[in-house]
Amino acid sequence: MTVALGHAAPARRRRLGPGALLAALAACLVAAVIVALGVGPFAIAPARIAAILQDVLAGRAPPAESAVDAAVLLTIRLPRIALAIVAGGVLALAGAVMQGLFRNPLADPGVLGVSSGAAVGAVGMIVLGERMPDLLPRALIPWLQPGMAFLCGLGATAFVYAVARQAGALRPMTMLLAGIAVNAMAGALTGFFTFMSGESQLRMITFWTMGSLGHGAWSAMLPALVPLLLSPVLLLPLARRLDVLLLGEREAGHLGIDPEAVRRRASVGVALGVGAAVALTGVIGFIGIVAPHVVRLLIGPAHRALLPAAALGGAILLLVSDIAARMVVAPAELPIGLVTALIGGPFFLWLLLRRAG
Amino acid sequence: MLAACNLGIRRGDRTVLDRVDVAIVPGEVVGIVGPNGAGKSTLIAALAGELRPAAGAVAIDGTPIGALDADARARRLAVVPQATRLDFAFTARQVVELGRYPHRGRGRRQEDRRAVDAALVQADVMALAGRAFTTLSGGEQQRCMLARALAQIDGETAQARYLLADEPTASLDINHQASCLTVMRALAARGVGVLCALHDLNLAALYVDRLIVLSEGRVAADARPAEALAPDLVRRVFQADMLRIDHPALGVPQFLGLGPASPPGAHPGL
Repeated sequence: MTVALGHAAPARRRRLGPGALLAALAACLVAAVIVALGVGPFAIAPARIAAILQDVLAGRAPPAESAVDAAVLLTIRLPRIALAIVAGGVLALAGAVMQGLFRNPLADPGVLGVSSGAAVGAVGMIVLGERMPDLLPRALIPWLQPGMAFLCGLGATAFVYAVARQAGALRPMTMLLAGIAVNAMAGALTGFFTFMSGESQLRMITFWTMGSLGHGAWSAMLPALVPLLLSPVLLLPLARRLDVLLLGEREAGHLGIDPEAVRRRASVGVALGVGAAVALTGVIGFIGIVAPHVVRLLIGPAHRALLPAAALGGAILLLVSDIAARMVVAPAELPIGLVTALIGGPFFLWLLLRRAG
Repeated sequence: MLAACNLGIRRGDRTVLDRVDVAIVPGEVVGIVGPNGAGKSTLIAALAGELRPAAGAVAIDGTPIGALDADARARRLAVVPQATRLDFAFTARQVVELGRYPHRGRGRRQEDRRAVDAALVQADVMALAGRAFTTLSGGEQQRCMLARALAQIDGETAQARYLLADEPTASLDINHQASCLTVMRALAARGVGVLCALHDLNLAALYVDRLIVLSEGRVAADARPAEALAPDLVRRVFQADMLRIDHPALGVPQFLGLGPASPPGAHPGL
């Protein structure tokens, strides 16, 4: 079960200080944000960005000649950047937590079924949604798809949890196996909806399953911010307990920790955060594995530094991937999931070869 | 006193421990010996409060172990496991620092640091402190886990403390076997009650104050090594003929192997 890639840190090489890494990551994130604000099929000069932002912060309307720039900046780029940061951060944080919880450096945020459950909800709404708008108030329609995705993600995790509980104690292996089973069933349901879908729906499904940050509008993000922010509030304080859990169940118990309580809280935190992120962006792979891995190689596995650093790393990774996705085939854009997979796949191969050599 | 009273532990429909009465008094080193499957690890797990007894109870100084606050219990009772699997590259020092978890929010950082340094020195792993745990040998990892347990019970002075170790010498070389048990003796001298499961009767006889012999889930003997290791009991419990001699310098019993058990009279010289 365990492929111990975590060994890779060399025996004596001095690791980076956690403070230094956090500062460096924060600086990188700021730089990435500045780039992301300016570039795109519609380039905006840095000086003009600064002027617009100053105007906004001061509560003034931007001058007429930069009205279009301001509109692009404020209603398209900024929410998109915010979505990249929050979604990337939460995915990486959730990945780091799951890897610690399962003592397995290859666990990903979706092990408990949240991503595949969300996919069922989203794809189901794409296919069935057309048949029900008459029954629902118009104002609800834009919320249906992300809402259902979020709820189905939570539902899938709750189901995994309940099954693992029923099968005896809430052991990591039982949870992992229940997660695999639920992921498979959710995959079948998603496949069934896809099979039923029409031409245009199929296209929407394809986009959704490859991920996109293009739906980042402030109005869509605001309700999602509640679970997205609740997730780190639940997960970050678990850092020291996750450290101790890496020693093993019994050892954690000897040190006064209730492993089940940690798993319960971690599952809720991950389901809320990843569920909301996936509901907004679709499925985006690899961020949850690559970011924690790189951080672990740099500063070691202690979660107090790892969790915030992984979150920053995930935010940077997703933001940079999005810049690439917007630039490569401009004015069209690549699905973000393709870009992260293109980065993540070779990264994994490199890790494997490095370990073999 | 850490005591198990009329303890019964069942796993499935198998009775692993049956009517076991044992007690560890602060300041003594108690050994548990017994053949594989006799219930040594189970007894340690039960004394650590991990298992729900089918009968009887475990108590620390009169308080049922389950009734203690988890952190308070952890500051008074540490366990050195038989083996540890850790796939993440913590340094040896970080592993030992995990032992300070139950002390979080109490006292100052210097106190934690002092306890960790002391534990690293006592377990002879200070030289490895900066190495990744995953790169250490089995014996070095074992000593790290001992250091972690030492750091865990360091600092609780008002109440009695206990250390339970499940074959802590299993993967150590001869030198470190001796120094591991010397650390146990030093702990006992400072008032800690120590219980060690051991395989090596000779090592046990050299270092422990009292020896519990477990056989098929029952206590077969509980006495000073010289009395507990009566030749006929050793023969019966371990199914092995052993030549018992007295240590020429220390007087404690030592055993020389004679091969598998054979019918009485096969070794007429005994």
